[in-house]
Amino acid sequence: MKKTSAVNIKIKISLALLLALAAFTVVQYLSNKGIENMRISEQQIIDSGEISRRAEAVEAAIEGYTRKRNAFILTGNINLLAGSEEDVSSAITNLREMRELAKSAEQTQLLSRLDSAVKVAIKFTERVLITYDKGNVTEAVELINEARGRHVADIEAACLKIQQLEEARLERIILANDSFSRRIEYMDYAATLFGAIVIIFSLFILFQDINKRIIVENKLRIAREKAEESAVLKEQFMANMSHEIRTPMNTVLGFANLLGRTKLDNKQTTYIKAIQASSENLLRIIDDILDFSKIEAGLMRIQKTSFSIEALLHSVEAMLMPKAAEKNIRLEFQVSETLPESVIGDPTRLTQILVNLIGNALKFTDEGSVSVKAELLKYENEDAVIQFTVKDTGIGIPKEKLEEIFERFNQAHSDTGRKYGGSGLGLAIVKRLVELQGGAIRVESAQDVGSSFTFVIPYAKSHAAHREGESQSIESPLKAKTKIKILVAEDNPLNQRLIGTLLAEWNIASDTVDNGKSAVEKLKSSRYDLVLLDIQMPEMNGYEAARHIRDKLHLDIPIIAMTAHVLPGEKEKCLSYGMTDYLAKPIRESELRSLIAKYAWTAPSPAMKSMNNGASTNGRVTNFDYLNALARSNPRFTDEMKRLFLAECPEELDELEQAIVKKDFDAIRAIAHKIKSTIVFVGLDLMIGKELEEMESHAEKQVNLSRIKKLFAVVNEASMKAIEELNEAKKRNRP
Amino acid sequence: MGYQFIKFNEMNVLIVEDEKLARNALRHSVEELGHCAFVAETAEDAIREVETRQIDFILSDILMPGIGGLSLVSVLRNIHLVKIPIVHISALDNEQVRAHSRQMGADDFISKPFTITEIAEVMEKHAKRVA
Repeated sequence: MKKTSAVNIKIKISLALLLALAAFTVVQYLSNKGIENMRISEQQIIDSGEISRRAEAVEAAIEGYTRKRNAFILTGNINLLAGSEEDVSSAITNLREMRELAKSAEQTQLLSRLDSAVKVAIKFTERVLITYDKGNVTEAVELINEARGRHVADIEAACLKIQQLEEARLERIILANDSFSRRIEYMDYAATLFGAIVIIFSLFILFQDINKRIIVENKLRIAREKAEESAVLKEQFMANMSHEIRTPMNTVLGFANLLGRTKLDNKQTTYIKAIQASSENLLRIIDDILDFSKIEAGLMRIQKTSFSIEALLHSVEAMLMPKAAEKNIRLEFQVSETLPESVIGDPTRLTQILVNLIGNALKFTDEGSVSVKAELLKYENEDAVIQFTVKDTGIGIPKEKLEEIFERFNQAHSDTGRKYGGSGLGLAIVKRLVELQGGAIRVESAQDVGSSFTFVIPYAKSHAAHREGESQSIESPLKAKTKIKILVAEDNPLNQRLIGTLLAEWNIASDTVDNGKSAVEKLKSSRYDLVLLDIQMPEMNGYEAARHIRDKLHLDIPIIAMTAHVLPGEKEKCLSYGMTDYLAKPIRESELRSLIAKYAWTAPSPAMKSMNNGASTNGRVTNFDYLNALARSNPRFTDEMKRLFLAECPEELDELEQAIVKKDFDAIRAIAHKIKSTIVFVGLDLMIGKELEEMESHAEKQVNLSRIKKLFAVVNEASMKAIEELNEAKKRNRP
Repeated sequence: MGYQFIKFNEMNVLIVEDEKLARNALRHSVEELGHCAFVAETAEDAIREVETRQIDFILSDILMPGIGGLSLVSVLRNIHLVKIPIVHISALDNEQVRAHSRQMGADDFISKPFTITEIAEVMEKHAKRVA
């Protein structure tokens, strides 16, 4: 999720909420206003009612007062005057109250009119009473009659006026109040609606955002789960990949090597060399990638065995000397005398580091020298810190690239890969291998002058003196035997062929089976000197087969595991299942040979070999080199061919003899040709090929029958001998 | 696990060879190379095979009873208008025979005794046309 959009959403939502807040504040304000207004109008309504009521009270008081006075005057009964004083005071009190309540000018005016009318009425009544008190009763009655209630009517009129005014005012207040409330109500609605819309809007935005986040989160979760899964699968994948890649590489390389040994013209030799070089290169790159992955996955194990650094340097020197010689570069090794005789550490990894660095130095140096130095730097916590330096006079590394060359896929020059090849992983692996062994590496370089790689590794001192002879003893055979038979259990037909061909080349007899079960069966029935056991096979894999051979068959025959599983611990696993040794695929001819030699076999000396090869010297006429090459170690095919030969050859010889008797030159020629074709498969052509060819050419020209007869005798004799040999061999095989 | 990286396209290969051992050897070689082998003992049989089967490649002897390998090619090319690769395998190896074989319409020539490599090479060389 982009940062800007997150900020946007925050601003949007804050703004919306502020708007909603404002809207609700307005609503609150308007409601307050409405309530206040209502209170004011209510007071006004109450006041208005009060005024009307008091006006009525004034009217009633004055009317009562006038009536009581009039009744007293007319009757002369003083008792009838009772309460008249209260009436007057009530009228005056009410009037005062009304004045207090009056607010508008109109009210005041009407009130003064009522006030004066009341005053007039009271004054008039007082005059009547005064007149009556003076004894002028008649005059008082006359005054009353004359007034005829005029004063009371005036008051009544004023009261009415006031009442009318108050009624009108009340109506006005109610109306105004109504419209105001309605307005407030509308505004209220509008503000509420606005607020609600804003809130809904912001909620919408929020939900949209949350939705987006949920989707992204889901994606992230899935990605994480996948990553975790792939991490788990990585180890398995590495094992499989190494097997899958190495198996075909094994075949390519193996057959290219075999092909290289056949008769080839210059062009073909060049091609084969290219295949070999490319295959080796590819294999090295694959090894690099596998190694690097192993290191990254934490699967690389550092061994702890006792070894001699000096001896290791010698073997590295021997390994790389041809390459240096090829490029005409001096390769110098300088071993300091202070080096401990033997140390404890991982010789394989040290070799790998040195071969990589020296290989690089040779690769990037066109003239001059590569020098390798090993010296004891110091002792640290009982460890001997050894410093190795590989210095060359090559193209060097640009200063700005020095930092990067130890990173993976980095080569100093962008065209390095193109020009010099390699995966770009070599130095990254070297660095990690050095670090895995608790060491450090650094590089100094000047462009066009050369580079110098220096690394230190701390090694524990070995107390057991390293025996020089140990490595040689591996080569010396435990069982000296020149004629041996090997059982090959391998399911891949190409590997079968490759191993079969190699063994055939070394004159080692072999049987091939394609699963562990058949291997066990074979071992039950036949005697072998060694078993080559592939680990990954159908039916019964190598581990099970080995266990079966040791535990059920109780055989102590050497078993050599063959596997493309190059993961650490594989060798240990094989040994734990009772296997004797371990051969990593792709199978290298030299490794296979030395392993076989180690456990079961003495290679025949050249003298013995030549004796075996000279087929005729031991009196044999048959030679199955061609047939075997054709068969590609398919024993069924050779057997069948031999059987066919035994059936065909006598028949053809009979036919030839008859043709010769009949002097049928055409038939002679045809049959001779046919026989020539037949005998090739048992190697008889080396003996009588020429004779048959001569016979053919005579027959073609229809001449020299006597010569043909002589030639036939030779052919017949040799063929008969061959048949005899084949029959003998058959008997030997089937006792 | 099957590794098929060496095997190029499987073909139906017709082997024309009158001699039993050579025929068997050729059949073995062809099968060893991962192809399907059909056999004919004479050129006449071969023509019948070509008429009835989907043949992709022919390996033929030259010296055979009947019309022989050279005529076989000529017949197949000119009468049956067959375009598939035809290779002669013969112990009769000289410039004259090779020229004749080419003339008749054969694509290549292998001299007897043949090796499995020669068969493989010649098949690979001409198989492209089949595909």
